[in-house]
Amino acid sequence: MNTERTEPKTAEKRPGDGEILALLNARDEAGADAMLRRYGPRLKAFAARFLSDGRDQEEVVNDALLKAWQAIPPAQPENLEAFLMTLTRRAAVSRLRHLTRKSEVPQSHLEAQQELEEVLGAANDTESEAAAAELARLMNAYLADLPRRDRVIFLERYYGSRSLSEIARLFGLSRSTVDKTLKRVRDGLREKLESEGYTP
Amino acid sequence: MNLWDNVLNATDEAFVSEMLEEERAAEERRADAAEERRDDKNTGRRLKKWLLPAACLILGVLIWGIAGGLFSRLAGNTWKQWNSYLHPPVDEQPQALIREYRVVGVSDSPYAGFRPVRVCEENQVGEKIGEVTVNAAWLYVSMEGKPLREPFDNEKETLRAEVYTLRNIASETAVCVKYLDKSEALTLDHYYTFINTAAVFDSPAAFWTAFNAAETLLPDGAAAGVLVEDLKLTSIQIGHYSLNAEATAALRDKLLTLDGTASQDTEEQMFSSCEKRASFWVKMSNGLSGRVNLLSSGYLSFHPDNLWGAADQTFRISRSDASDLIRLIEDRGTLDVPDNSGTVTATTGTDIQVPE
Repeated sequence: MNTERTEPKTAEKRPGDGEILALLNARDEAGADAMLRRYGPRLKAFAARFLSDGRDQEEVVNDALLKAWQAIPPAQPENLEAFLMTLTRRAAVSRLRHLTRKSEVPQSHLEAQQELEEVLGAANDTESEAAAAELARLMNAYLADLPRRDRVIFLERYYGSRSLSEIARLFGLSRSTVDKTLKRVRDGLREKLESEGYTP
Repeated sequence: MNLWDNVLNATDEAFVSEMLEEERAAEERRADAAEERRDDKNTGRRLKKWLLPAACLILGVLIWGIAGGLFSRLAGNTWKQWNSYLHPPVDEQPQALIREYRVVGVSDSPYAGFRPVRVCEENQVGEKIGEVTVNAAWLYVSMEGKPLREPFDNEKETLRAEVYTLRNIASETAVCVKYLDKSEALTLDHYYTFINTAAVFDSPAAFWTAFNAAETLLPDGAAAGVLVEDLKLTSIQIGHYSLNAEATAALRDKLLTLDGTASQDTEEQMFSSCEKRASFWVKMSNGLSGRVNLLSSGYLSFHPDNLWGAADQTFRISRSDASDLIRLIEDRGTLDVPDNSGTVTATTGTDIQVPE
């Protein structure tokens, strides 16, 4: 049996971030296409951690890519993938607002939200949204002081909405190690916020 | 919205980059470990290879003799399965694969260019109008529906099929197909709707009529979600409007009676003086679905999302009609996501300003 792999007939050289940014800066639509080719699937997989429906996922990725197209230039992100993930997350979170059934939201995201609500209660009013920027500043300052491993685990869980098992598998840790790390980091964050006058 | 979702949206991008680095490193470590496991396994296999050959040979001869003709059929199927593993599509860039379509195109005239969108409801099937040959193949396409490569020759199949009309829809626009030959991903029990990807319509009204859209385009009692985008290059203003049933019906009625002509203008021309775009998802009575885009520069286009190879249907409409429709959405809809808009003021995603 011939087990040699057949090469695709239309193998393409894929542009890197530098080339994509150059195309976007020149307002060349090939840049948007290259961005989609390079990051579309990853972003869709990322969106899937927040939204169960494939159409919703595609919409938020399209929104994120459109925003990136509109933002660059003048924006010049140092890390294009991180920039796109940020935009995708924002679009996904906005989309979550329209979902009326919890079944449309993956379980791991709901669980992650509940865990964080223990740190500082859930809130939906305008005042809380205005306070989000200040909380984000405090959270970023707290994360900056954490060991890299703890910080990454925290982000995987709460920024990336991965399940505990997924994080454990990804980094070759036990589930209970991940669980304990997250609890420690959450407790530390709660203390930090309390010292700044926030109460759960 | 959960408070923490807002907080986490403003996570320092440097931390996100760090997380991505760690993910990549972890994936590489896992790949290396898998490679080592494979090597260990192969060593074990080489030993077994010399210990058991006689037994395997005898067993093989026995199976060959007993199973006879059955064996050849099984081998054919197994080969098909192995073939898909041995020749993975676009393997050097697996992350580029978004969808795998069982793409079928009718090879016989007059239905060349007809492609499937979905299974057809039996009560929609009309009279039999002919038989055709259908070419079927796995095709790998990007999220935007662009093919990533042509199918390999050994993945192609030719199937006989019957063609039926669809009730209330001209056979130049869409038909129903029932297969006579069994295939890997298609059944003999269902009717499949095929749409003419080359169909061109003179006006929006002709397009809606051809697809019998009055019944399913923004149906009565349904609420529509519409994205309105401000397309000025230096700003990002995206609003998601929810239309109640009454506003949805008003939007539908205006769409169905819209004057316009078919347009061949390029996207550059369409967007050159466009300040706003409104878009929303619609579904036609035969299963065709896609997004309607309204451009303030005076265009209406339909971009199908479940019909591979079909071009957008684009119509020139008056600027005032386009503006009226967009205004209807903005005036009668409820803006759901005011915090999803902002102005780009600096160089990173975290700097997109959220208006209070």
